[in-house]
Amino acid sequence: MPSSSDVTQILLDWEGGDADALARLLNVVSDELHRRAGAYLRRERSDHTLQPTALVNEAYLRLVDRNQVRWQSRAHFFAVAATIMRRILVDHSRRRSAVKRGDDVAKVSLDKAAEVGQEIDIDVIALDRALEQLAEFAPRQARIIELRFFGGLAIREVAEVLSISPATVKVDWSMARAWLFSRLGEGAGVWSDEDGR
Amino acid sequence: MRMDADRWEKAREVFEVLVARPVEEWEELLSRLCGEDAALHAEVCALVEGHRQAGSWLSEPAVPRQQEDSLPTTEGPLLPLAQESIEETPDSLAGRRIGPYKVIRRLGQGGMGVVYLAARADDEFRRWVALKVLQPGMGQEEIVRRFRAERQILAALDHPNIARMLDGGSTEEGLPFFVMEHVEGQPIDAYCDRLRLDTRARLELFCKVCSAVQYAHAKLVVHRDLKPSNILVTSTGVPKLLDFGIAKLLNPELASPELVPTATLLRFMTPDFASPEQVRGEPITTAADVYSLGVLLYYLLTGHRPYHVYNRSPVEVLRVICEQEPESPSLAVLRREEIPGPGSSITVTPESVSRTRDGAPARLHRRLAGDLDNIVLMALRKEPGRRYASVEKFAEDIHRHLDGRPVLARKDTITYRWGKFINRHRIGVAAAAIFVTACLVFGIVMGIQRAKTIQERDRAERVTEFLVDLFEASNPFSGPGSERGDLTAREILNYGAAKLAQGLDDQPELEATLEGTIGRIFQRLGLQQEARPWLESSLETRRQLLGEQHPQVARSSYELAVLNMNDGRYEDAGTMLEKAREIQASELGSSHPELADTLSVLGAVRMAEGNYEKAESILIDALRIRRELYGDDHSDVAKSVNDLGLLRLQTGRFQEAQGLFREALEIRQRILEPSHPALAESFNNLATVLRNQGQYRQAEPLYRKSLEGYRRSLGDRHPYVAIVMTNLATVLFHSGHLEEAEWRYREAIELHRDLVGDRHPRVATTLYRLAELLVLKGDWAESEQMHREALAIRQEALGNEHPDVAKSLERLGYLAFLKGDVGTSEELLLESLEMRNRLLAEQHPDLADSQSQLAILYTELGDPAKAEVHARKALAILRSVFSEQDSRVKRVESILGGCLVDLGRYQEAEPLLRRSFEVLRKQEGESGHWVLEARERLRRFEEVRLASDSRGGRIPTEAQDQDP
Repeated sequence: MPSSSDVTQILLDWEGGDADALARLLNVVSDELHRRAGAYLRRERSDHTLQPTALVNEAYLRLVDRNQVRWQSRAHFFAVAATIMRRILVDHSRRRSAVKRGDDVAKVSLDKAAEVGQEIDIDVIALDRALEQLAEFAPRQARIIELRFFGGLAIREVAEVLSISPATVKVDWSMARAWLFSRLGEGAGVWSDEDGR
Repeated sequence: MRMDADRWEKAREVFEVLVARPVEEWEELLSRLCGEDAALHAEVCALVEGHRQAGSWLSEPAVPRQQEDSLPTTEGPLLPLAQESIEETPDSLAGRRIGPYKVIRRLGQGGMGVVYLAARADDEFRRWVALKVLQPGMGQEEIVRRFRAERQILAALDHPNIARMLDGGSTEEGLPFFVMEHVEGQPIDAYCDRLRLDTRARLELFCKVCSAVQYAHAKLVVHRDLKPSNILVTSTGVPKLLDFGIAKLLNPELASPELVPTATLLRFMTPDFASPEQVRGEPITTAADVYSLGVLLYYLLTGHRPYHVYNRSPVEVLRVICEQEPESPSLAVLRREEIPGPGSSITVTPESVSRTRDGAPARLHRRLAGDLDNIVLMALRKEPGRRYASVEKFAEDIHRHLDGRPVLARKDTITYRWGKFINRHRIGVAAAAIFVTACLVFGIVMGIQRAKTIQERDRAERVTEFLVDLFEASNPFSGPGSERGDLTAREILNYGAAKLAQGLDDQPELEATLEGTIGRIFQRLGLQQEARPWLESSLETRRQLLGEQHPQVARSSYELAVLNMNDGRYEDAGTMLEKAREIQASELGSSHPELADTLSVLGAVRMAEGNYEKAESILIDALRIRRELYGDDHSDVAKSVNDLGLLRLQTGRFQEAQGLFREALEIRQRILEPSHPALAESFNNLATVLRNQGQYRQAEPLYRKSLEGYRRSLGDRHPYVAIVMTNLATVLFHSGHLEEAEWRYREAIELHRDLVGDRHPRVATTLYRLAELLVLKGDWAESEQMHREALAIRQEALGNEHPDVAKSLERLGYLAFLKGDVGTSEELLLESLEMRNRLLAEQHPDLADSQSQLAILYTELGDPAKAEVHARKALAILRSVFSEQDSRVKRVESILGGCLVDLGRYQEAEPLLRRSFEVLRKQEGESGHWVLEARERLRRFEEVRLASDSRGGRIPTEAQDQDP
């Protein structure tokens, strides 16, 4: 099991110019998140909503000595976690939809932050598929969605991770989200690809 | 329609404009921006509709995070050179039409005006442009007139790394505006920092910038205002230069031929990047761009500006830019600097600049030292004619460096620097000339004194003639220096070398003597590299002439061995000296001065190798010979006494060493001029033994005296200067003056590396000490790196079995301990202890270091019984060597006290802890690191005792502590 000093060291290595460090980080963090996600998903509430709220947070708190790494490195940690979280959530949805025979689409209800108090159902599998399509012609925008939605990165952190300006991130985010929205919304698919559904 | 990247990009441009505007305007804007492209119109329409409906969809991450994690901190080296603001600013001209352009929104503001994103309104071929509107009050008609004159040239600049100049004119209000290709990117400095480009990548990117400037120069356009905010790098890594030629249009110097006041000039440029000729208002050529590129490269490589012009008056700025020599980049990266910004200031530290570059300050420093220092400083020379002749030459030199070929840039030549130096310090130069003269005259006198035969005397006279001839060279009316009227030592020597090559072919023996002399003088001036060929040539000539067994061959070997010794090549030196000693003993007898010289150096070599027994008998022999020959009051006797002192110091017999050093100092003070470098040596050595005896307060002023003496007699860049600097830093370190100590160490390391190369044991010594200091600062990573480098150098130069290697192992063991890697720590500490047991006398203080470190380790591992054994061994050694009040004794007493607390033996512990703390505090001051440690142990003791008091009101005396 990775220890706090391992991951902290990887981040420091990376700050120090070790380009391979992020790849090592992916392995370490992936194990940790899968393990923890499993525990979370087993504890699912009876209404089958998933609460991954603190998942990555806790992993981060456990794995990284926050006094030693800079916020830029923290952003990269979460960027790595974003990809993994996406995979975990999608896999989970698939398993659940397989269990709930008859439902062709499993909607995972994601608990939003307490102050909003409302739940928005997001079809993670459909979102995942749409993101893959978006990535074909707008890879940067697809990655921004992934970082923001699955990784919880702030605008500024996305800018840091992708080395583009925050202003660009903002526009990209709005546009990609608009595209996904009209694509996942009912019938509004102005740009449905020929090889789409 | 199938989506592709191009269409997406097109849609994005329109989408971006629309979402920045109120919904009411969308329809109109859509029709305008999409023109005939109905598909695009539909696509964007759907997108903005999706945007409007999506609300907060996806805005809440699937995985929310705690606030603190996303909070940006202020640390980091990103300077606010060209901030991009995320908030919208009021767009004073947004929506307006300027000429054929429709202004979309504001992009930013520069010194000259505001930049807008705009589109050509009447054009069905839609393209984004950057439109720059100048501020009122800048000689508007004149600028517009000049633009019309120049527009052909500017529009012809067609290069992938230059943003195209498209148009220009004046607004309805008569404000001049320029229209350029719109570039989306980051300023080059921010780009490099974000991607953490290392030095090589930065250089490669910089060369692309150079190619663009070079292209423009070929079209006779000078940029004149090169700076990071004018060089944007796109997300695909392509640099684009903005504002080419604009500075010239704005330059008031063109409007009126008379001299423009500096203050006015400075308003129009960025003084950080302006060349001396620019701030003086002199004619501008391509050399100004070379200079600005030099400043840019300096900044990209180091994170610092070459000059500090923040908040200075125009007159001061002028002076700084025109007169101050910039610090070399490799040194700049070791500097800590507060950079005042709007609102708050930013602190740039060695760590912050190296983190975004080559990893660690030391690595970055080494990366820049040498070639890159020379290249950057060459571009930054004050006189345009002494910079690179063109940007092309500048870039070529960088490519040479990247390819590992020798670069053209050199440090300012000695001659040039001397010229400048002479202008500043006429008297100082006279003193230096006298020193060189003294060296030469000394050689003559010695030659004549030692001339035993008539033939030898003749030769001595020929030498005299030759030297007189050399001094003719510095006669203002005849020699090569007559234009200037003065000469440097090197010039005199080079002149001598040239004479040698011309006139002495018939006298090879004399030639060899003179070659040897020249080599020796170079060597004494600290110019090791220059000395070597002369000494080698002299030895070779003599071997051929006189055969292997001749005393003169032995002498030449000795000279070369001195050089090898100074270069840290102890094995070579030892072999040559043994050979010389054998020849001299058989040919010259057992009491010859030259034999004494050989023995003196051989003793030093054996000592450096750690072979102290051999060294002792050799040095005593040398002293005996010299006393027999010269009596007591002679500089060579003083030297031998000093050598023996060094040996005693090395073997830890400090009291004897102190006596010998004082004796040598007294002899020297009796017979030598106060400015003689040998006195500086004595001060240094005496200070060192005092430092080793813990008497830092007495040691510090002696070191300063020594440093000053060496600087005055040998100049700033002599190996001895670097050595004393290291020593002074160490004493400062021990007395808790960490800041001065650190910069002195870094300065010394730089100088050592420069003078003797990276692999010299002296570099290792200094690295070792700086590493010790860094541990205290908590900078373990850099400390460990330095310790490892020092260990590698030592193993290579001294072998695997050497007291200094043992020292390095012990310190690495300590670092492993700090990092919590106790297994490695124990291993290293035991290895070092065993090595020391094999190599050192039983009572050597280094053994105590291993023992006390092990005591600390076992204390921490919860094995106080084992710790106590080691602490007591350490204490026994230290008490036998040092006085009871010595700080080292006290430190180990404190460590032992700590063990005893853990063993529950509070009554034994208390007096040790209290006494050691009090004495240490008195000797080392409140901030000494041992004092802090001792205080901590005492505090812990009091806590533990308090706890046990409150538990049972009784202090347990058993060896077991029942703490849970």
